[in-house]
Amino acid sequence: MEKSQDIQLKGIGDSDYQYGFQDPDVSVFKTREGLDEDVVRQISAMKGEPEWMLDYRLKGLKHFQQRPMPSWGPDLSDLDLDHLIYYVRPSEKSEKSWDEVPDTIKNTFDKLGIPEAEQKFLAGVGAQYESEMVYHSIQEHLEKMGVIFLSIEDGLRQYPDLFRKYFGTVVPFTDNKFAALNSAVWSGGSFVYIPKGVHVDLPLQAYFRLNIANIGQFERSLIIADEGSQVHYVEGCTAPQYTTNSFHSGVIEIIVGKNARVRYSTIQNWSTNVYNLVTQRAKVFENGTMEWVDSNLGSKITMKYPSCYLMEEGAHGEILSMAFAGKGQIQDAGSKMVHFAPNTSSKVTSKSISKNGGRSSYRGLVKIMPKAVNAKANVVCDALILHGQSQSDTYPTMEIDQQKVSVGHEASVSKIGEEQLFYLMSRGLSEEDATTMVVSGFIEPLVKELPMEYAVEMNRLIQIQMTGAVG
Amino acid sequence: MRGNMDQNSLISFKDSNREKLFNALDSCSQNYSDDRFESIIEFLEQYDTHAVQGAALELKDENEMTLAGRFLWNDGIKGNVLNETAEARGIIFNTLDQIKRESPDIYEKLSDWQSIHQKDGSGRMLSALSKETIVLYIPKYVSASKEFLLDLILSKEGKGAAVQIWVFLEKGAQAVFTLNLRSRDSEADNFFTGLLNVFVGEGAHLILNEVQDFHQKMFSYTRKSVVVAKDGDLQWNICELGSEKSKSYSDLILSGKGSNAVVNGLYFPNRNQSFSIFTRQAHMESNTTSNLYFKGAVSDDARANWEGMIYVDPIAEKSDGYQKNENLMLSPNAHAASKPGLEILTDDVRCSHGTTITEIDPNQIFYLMSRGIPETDAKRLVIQGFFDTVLHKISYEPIRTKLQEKIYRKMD
Repeated sequence: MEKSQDIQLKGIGDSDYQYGFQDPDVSVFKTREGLDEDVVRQISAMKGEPEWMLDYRLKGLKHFQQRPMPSWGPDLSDLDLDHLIYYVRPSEKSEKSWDEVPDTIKNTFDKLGIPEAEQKFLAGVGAQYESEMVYHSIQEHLEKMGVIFLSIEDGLRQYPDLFRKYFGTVVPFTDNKFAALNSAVWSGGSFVYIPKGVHVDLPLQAYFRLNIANIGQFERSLIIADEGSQVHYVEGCTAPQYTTNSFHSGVIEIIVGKNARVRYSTIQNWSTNVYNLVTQRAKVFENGTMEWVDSNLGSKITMKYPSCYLMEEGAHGEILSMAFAGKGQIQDAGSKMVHFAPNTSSKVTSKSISKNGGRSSYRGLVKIMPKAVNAKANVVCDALILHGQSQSDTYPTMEIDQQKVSVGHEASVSKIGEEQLFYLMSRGLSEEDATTMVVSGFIEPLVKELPMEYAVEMNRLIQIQMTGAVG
Repeated sequence: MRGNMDQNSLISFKDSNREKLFNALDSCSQNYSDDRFESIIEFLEQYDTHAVQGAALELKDENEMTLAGRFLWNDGIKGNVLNETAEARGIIFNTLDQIKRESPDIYEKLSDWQSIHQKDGSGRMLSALSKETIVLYIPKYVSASKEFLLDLILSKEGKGAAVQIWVFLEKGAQAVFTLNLRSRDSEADNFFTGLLNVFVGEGAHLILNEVQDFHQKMFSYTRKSVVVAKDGDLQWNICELGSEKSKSYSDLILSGKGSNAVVNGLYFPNRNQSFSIFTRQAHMESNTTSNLYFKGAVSDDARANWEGMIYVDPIAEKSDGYQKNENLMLSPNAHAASKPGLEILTDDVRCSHGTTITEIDPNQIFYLMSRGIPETDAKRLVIQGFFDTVLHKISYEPIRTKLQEKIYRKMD
């Protein structure tokens, strides 16, 4: 049984990378390899930024240089930070209409299916190619309601006060080494503002993509949901395959105002040579709700722990996390829930799959601060392990400084039940189909939370990986 | 019955250094070096060693339960006694020095086992610090139905002790061993470092009980490792009640196919007590099972920190590991942290863990009060019920009763 599973499942994670096409380099500007003050000044000058932002970047750089590499988690010693290109600009300006986008870049997006998706479902598309937003559109009625959906650079230019009020307040540059790096060299990302009481019914989407070998992508997104508003932001990531390692280190900051509701969904499908070290955090205010839906399929090493800081009474945080580690991959995913205020609640559901020697981990923190009376937190982790050489880890931490709490955690690790396979096969399914079906069922609680076309993509990705490599 | 005579070995220390000693022991948990050992020795003044008369002992514990053997260590003064059947069957409960003199062949066997036994940095440090080793040895296929009690009392002002304890069960042996750590009523600044090494041989069966009930000014640092061989069976009952600061590492190594272990743990810090409890369940062979259940109530300004890990080796197929930690918060200033962990390196396993941190359920209190029970009594009942779920898993009745009493007393 195990032998045949070995053969059938070997496709996951080690199959030919589906988006591994590569376009010729058409960028108009890129910085030299490596990072120092000059490079940071150059980036800032290229973007024509105000003085305070340059100062902020330089502070981030200084902190980055002083801070040691994290002493825990996956081994990052192969990551060569000295030979990365920290900024690449693909074309002169951000385009407003699809026709103005250069053909090669358009081809890439065509392969990803973005325009079709837009016609059908999308409220707005911000697609990030290299380090700048090259294409941005938003449906008119949203614009009329006052919704702002811009590239982060345009956000800084057009709404400097709003930007400055919130930028760096959720993830300060001192947070961790890679947040400091991002603060120094950030480029690209989205700036979203949802005004009071506005409900955005269709998801806002951005597609991130790396094309040149050895570049780091440091997207920075700032999402502000004002009182009583609602929004769903979706991000997908794809990178073509190169022999040298690429590096992605984003920072996502989200402010969820009073009674607001924000959902942030990610499908991370970088090729298997990308280091993906991301800091994602939301500050949630009175009765607000933040939901992270986080799926990690690609990359070489991912370290990503979406977090909710529940700042005021009644705030609620939820994380649905899925990690799929194939051959040579380490998915170090998890969550952080910090309860600062009374009657806050949080819920974490994590699903991880390790296959063909891959390693997936859940690393999480639930912290109840002294003031958080009646806080409730629950964490459930399930792991599926598909081959003898694979590894599955769970490292949750609970820290409680308050008496009136209810905190629970459960985790289990198992392989696919032989009874389940036997049952499905006795109904006429092949072993391969049966296995795929069990895996799909395992991650279903997450998939059903995704917008439809992403759910379809997700199911397709799982299917490709489960079946494509047979024979 | 006989009393024994040996040397007194208490350690003097400068009080201000107790904390430093504690931290130094921790900092060397990764690697051992002679330099570090020297630096730890610097915290200590000297070992007192002078001959003293061993006490005459009865084969009874505090609760007048009859024992199979008893070893008393009272501020360094030692005495030991075994019942006749145990002695006739070749059971040994003595210091390693005495065994070296009286039974050189067994001494050799124990030393061999000890030298191949893997120890981490602070384990080596503790064994280097310890001037004496107390050994319980059960020969092949010998089963003792009554308990062996190591009663260790430490309360002499300004003194510390470093003791090693070895428990060795040969193939097919069976025994109940209790390590009782306590103090007399007086409270003085003391510290204790202990190293407990246990081997459960092929098909052997051990019930291992540990009661840490020192006075509340003690600093206690213990490292314990239990290796279970093929088809061996272990029930390990751990109870942490005493000390101002207590740090304990419990390492369970299922090294033989089909070995099986149940670990039951209780902790109940109050006032300014601070407990750190680390457990590890290592499945190194196939078809091994482990089941760990740790429960603690935290009151006043106390701190409890529990950290556990289940490790499953790539060759340990068909393993079943379970880990559960439950905490009851009894005061607004209490602090609890729980950090379970899984590291699974093979696919054919079933491993899970669960942890909870909660306050007393107000509905339960309401229910009991509606039945006419005053609030304070209702709370007591709920806390008793909380601990009883673990206590009921302890199959050796005298120790279950003893722990129950101790916990109930601490609630007052």
